[in-house]
Amino acid sequence: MEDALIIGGKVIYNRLFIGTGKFSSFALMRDALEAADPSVVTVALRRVDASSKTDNILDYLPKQCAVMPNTSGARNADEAVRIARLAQASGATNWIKIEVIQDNKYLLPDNLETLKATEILVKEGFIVLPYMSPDLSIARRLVDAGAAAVMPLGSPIGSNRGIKTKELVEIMVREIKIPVIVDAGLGSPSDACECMEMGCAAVLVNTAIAIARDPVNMARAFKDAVSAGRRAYLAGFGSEKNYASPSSPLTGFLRKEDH
Amino acid sequence: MLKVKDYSLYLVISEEYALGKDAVEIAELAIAGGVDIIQLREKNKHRDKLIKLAVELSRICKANSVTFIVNDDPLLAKEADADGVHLGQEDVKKYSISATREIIGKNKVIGVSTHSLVELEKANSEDVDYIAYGPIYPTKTKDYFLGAGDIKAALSVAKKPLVFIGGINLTNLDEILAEGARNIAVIRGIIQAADISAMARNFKHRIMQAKKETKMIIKINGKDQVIEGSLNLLELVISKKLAPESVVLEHNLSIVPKEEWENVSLRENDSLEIVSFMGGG
Repeated sequence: MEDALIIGGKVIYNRLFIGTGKFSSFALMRDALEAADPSVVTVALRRVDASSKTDNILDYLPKQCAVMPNTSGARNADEAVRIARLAQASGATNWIKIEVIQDNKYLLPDNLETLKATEILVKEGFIVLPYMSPDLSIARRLVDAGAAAVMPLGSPIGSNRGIKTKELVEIMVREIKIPVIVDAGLGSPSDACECMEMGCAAVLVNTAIAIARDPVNMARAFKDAVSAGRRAYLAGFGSEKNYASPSSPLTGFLRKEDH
Repeated sequence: MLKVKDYSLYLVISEEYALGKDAVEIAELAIAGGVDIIQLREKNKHRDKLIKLAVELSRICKANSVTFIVNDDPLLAKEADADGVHLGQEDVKKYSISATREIIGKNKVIGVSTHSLVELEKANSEDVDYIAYGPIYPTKTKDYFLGAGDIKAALSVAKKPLVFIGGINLTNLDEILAEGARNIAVIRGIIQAADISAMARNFKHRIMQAKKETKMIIKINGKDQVIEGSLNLLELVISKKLAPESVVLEHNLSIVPKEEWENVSLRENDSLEIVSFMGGG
């Protein structure tokens, strides 16, 4: 059975999106990406440091990947729009992950500024995936604004705490008709699997892979977990009960008499 | 795709001012002296002779990697396979800029004359590749002149390469270089010289010297930096040892597409953001 996710016209077979930050080298990042074979990867845009010569990160990304720059560093909608336009001018992509953050302690996003930036960038033809605090009303407005997906956080960026926002994200999964992608905070493959079992369309993982002792195998483990969770979701769960329901037949016991 | 790299020394050839010298001979001598662009401006020549002359000059310029422009006449430019056409304000009436563009195509150069800051500002938004501004000094072709006083203002208004023209000679050259002019068009100052090659070489040397000595402060990624020499955006990126394909430029808050980098010259107090992708979640 084909189970592809389509965003911005791209057919996405691998529902594990991977962030490229924090890897100890581009070569290691490339190996991890090759192991997980993602359809979408994120990158950041920064001022170049002319004194330290670095390679072009795009050369290390698998060719079939959609490159989704983020607007990290933006503190309001205008800054996010400016970063998005610069990213597009690279000629590499018209995808953008909107990330507007003023809070340095928890890195929680500003949903209102995120909405404003989404409205502007969708009109300019971007494929917009906003990173957001899980909030149904804002998610609906983002849908109306033309977002290609919504990306609620699981827990604070880089915290590895898993899907602490589960109930709110579940509401979004039920009510929002565009893909819901959990972004941020997923610390282990089981966290990712849980999101997929909940019916999320995809997950975005960075820190948990990049800072693992063995990023290549951690990438592979996340890939398997995402695929397992998705398969389970599609297979359909039985309902929960308060009492046991035996799995084995209740007849034919080896007792003196069979009743 | 870049059309013209260098407008530094722009020679206009017009046999009516050549004191009997022939245009081909002038062109060859001037090319030996280092001119970057030659424009053929003949108002009174018979069409057949004009075509023959333009074809010959076009061939000579090509052989020497010098840009060849014809004045006023896009059909002549096409016939002679010139690199572009220069339109005067009065000529624009004969062939509009858009008609000229249609005839010569998008890869050719169109220049336009302007005689005031108002005309210059208007030319910014036209489909032209460079703007000529003058006459700076008294000249036989015009009954007025603008003086060197507005050169800085003109440079700050212009959004395209700006070529200064009109009565420029070795005596007044230093004055306009001091005002910031770096692209100089000359007619009589060169074609009436006893030694055309030496005169062109002299002009070119002083212009290049001024370019080399240019120092300006621009803000790059939020930090003031002193830039030496007059650079366009591509030259700056290369001077910083950055790979052009991996960076994006924002110049005074507007994004400049890569194919335009060579056409944007840095100026004092410009602000530049040079960004590239890196790892991020």
